[in-house]
Amino acid sequence: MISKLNLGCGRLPLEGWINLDLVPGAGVDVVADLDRCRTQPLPFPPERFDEFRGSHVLEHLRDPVPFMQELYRIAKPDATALFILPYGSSDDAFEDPTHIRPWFISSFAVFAQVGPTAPLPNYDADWVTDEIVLDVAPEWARGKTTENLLDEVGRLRNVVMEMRVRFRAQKPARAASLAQVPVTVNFNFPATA
Amino acid sequence: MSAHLRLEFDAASWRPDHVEVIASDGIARNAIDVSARNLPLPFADDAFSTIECGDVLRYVPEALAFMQELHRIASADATASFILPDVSSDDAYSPAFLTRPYTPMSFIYFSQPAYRRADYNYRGDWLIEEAIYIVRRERYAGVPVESVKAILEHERNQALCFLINLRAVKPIRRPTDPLPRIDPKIVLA
Repeated sequence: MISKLNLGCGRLPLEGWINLDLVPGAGVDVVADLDRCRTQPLPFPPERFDEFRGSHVLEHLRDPVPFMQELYRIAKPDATALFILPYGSSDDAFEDPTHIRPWFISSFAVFAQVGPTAPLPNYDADWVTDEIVLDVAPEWARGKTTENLLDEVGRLRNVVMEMRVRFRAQKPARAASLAQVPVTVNFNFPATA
Repeated sequence: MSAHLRLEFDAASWRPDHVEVIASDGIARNAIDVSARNLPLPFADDAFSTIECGDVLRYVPEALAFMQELHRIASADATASFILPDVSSDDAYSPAFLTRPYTPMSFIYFSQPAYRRADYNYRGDWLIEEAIYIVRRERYAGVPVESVKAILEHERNQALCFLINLRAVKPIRRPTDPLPRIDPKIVLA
């Protein structure tokens, strides 16, 4: 039986998932503050879940490192975590007054033990970024190569409509080391309403 | 009864983790600490029919609590006005103060329809009546509005600032109303 945790479900709990939110509400199974993971462990035993999902959650966190560490603790080996969030250079990253920080393609390497950023003190989780998917309007992408689009994502504002990041829990964690790790960035072109 | 409240950010009050605004209601000028989550604004419910906020909001750490307090002291249909640097402008980021950048769309989060997806425990309700980007006349005179909007969307430092006029909705609506899309006007200055 696959065990799945929906992080920050809000008013949109999902069937077949354990739904967690900061505030109680219809369909909320577990109330917990994801931003307090530094001092308050999540109310689950180690290696409890196969799959995590967090839609528009990461950008609300002041303290995401202890959160990713806690998530790793309750993740089974090779558990996956999908996060959906605004891209840092889109207005959407700041629209909501409770958004704390912008996230970019390069923001996730810090959660792995092997990567281009120096290891964080007291962080021993190891989340490998399997894939980053950027949603771009089809009319914007027409006639452009992936390289063209990546270049525009780096230079221009409001190119990306939404970002999805897929992590995998690498267990046991690897020894920390600095390395250039290629990140797979794919584009998706959702039909706009 | 048409009491007017004017709020100004007080840079002279600078201390880490501390934000003061000067509130002028025509009778007195008071310095108010707006750093806290449960900030009380020292005014009665429904006290003001117009509130002038200037660029105070970007310095306020707990914007939702602040806007809920403004809603409490505003009378039904009171107006509140804001002038802020846009998120796309370097001016929106201050080295001295913990500012957060805003965009006109941010202001939908001060209305109840924004909370269909999640409850942030915000109980104010402000309707966006008008949103205006100000751009430089020398550069944008004669440029079609749609072109100006496309430039504003993708480039930096093209909006001098934006203006927002809100209206207090009392009693507050349910969060199930459809989310409004706002279409800011372009004004040359």
